[in-house]
Amino acid sequence: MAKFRERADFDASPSAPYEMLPWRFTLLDQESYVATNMAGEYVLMSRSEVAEFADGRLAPATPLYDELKSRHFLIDADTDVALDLLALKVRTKLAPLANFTGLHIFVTTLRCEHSCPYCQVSRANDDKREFDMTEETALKSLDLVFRSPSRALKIEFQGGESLLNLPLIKFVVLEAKRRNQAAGRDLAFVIATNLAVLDDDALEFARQHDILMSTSLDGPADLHNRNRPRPGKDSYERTVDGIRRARRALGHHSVGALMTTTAASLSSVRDIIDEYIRLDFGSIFLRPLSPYGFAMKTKFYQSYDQSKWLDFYFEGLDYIIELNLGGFEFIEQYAAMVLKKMLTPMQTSYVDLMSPAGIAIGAIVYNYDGAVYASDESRMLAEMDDKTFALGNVHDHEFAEIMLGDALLDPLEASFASSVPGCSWCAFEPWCGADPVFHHATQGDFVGKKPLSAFCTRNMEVFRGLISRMEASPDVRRLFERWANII
Amino acid sequence: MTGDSVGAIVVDFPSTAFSAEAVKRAAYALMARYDVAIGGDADVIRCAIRPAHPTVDMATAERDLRREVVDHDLRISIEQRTSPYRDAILGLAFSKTGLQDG
Repeated sequence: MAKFRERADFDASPSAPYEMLPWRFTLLDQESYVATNMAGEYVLMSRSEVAEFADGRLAPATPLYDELKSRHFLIDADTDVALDLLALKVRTKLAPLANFTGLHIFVTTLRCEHSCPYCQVSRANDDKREFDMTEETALKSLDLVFRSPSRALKIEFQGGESLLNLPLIKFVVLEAKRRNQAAGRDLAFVIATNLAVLDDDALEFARQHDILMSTSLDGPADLHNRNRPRPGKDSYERTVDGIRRARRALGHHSVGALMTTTAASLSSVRDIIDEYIRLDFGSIFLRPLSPYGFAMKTKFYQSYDQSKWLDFYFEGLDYIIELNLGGFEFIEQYAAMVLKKMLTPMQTSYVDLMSPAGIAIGAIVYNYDGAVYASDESRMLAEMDDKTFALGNVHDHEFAEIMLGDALLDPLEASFASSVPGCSWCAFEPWCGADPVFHHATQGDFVGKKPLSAFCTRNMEVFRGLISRMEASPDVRRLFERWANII
Repeated sequence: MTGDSVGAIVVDFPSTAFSAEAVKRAAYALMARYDVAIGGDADVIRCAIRPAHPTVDMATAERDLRREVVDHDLRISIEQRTSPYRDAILGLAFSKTGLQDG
């Protein structure tokens, strides 16, 4: 007679039925589906596996059952911690919401000496001082900055060309630091500049106050100068010289660069990436055009469609993957931000990938004239006479009026991805964002019809492309996991 | 055939097997390619499919719609069966955050 009962007698799970926890599925390709739980963890399943699992017919003690169980897609008699763990992960994802607003954009001036046809911002000639922010407006804006609950406050100076109003930048930095002696926030500053007018005075001030520089670099000289005309046709030369001088003064990693994709860029993604590598940047953000400002007036936005951008994007991404697998570390930032949402319980601060939308609670804009906008794109819309996302004016409105007004709460509530058609049943929703400004600009309402939305179709293809690549190669999976934890 | 369905591909779904919500969601999901007019009676949900643009290939339109409806019907079923867990998880996630009333 045996002393002990059989091992199976102690294992409740194989014979016990399971209960599904909330999950969603979306087609990955003709063969498989992506399934996600409430925290955005994903599992790939075939069509028959989707049906088996949903019907309660999935056999226990199989790899798929174990995978679904470990990722909190189901509970059975063997475990009762999935609900708590899932709730913890959901809570971690949502926690940053209470700490709004981290990024405060000061438009120091609309003046600019460039005349880029794709510019998202309406610009003024560089001798028109009426488009400069005044100290009075800056002081009122700072009142609002320090009302934000966020522990970390980043003030970014934008234009036009922000450095054309350097005195105002100096005034804001000194005043913000003075106020912060009492406020005790993690205070940081960024100057967004084309670097063409960068002088030693600005560099020395930036060095003294640990100010970061963010510039525009569209690629090699011919492409950059074609995209970014200025008197002298030397935008590229000035930008590269500015990057070199700023790095020398501020430190190598205190200078970042962003590129904009135009129709002229589409055949040159490797050249653009090579240019970033040649200039010793560790990453690139392959960005699409936005449907705002001069980009719309000059028909630049219509000059290529999403499929062409996606081809451009994936050619670039595959090239970057190839570089990494060959031993050269380099990051594509958009992929890294998406992967952070896919592979970790953390959120990204990138406004376009936030839901509730990042407008005003992720980043907020104080225009040169005191107008407060929900985002940089909202300001661009206002320049096109659409003031839907104008939240008030620093001279006329209090913090609560701006942050609790209908102009902000209505689009935030209406566009929340978990509750809108097309998103609420989409498996990619935990990774995606709500972009009421984009959908208002392109379709005339905060939600938009997702099947017709370039934002939706672009992101869905990016999600599918990232999953396909990491599922096809363990090396790519390891690379993507590294990116997800770096960015 | 109704006026709505002249020149269209007509697909019927038995009301006993599929929810109208699933058919509506499928029509929504396919709107970039097809215009789907939804009608019918107590027994049948009738869909008339037309191209959303002149360049749309209609060869797979019926299969696309049927597949989409089946998927959405399943999604709705999952939503309904997991709804109490969803509420419980969100309740747990938001507990002790100070974000709730009361």
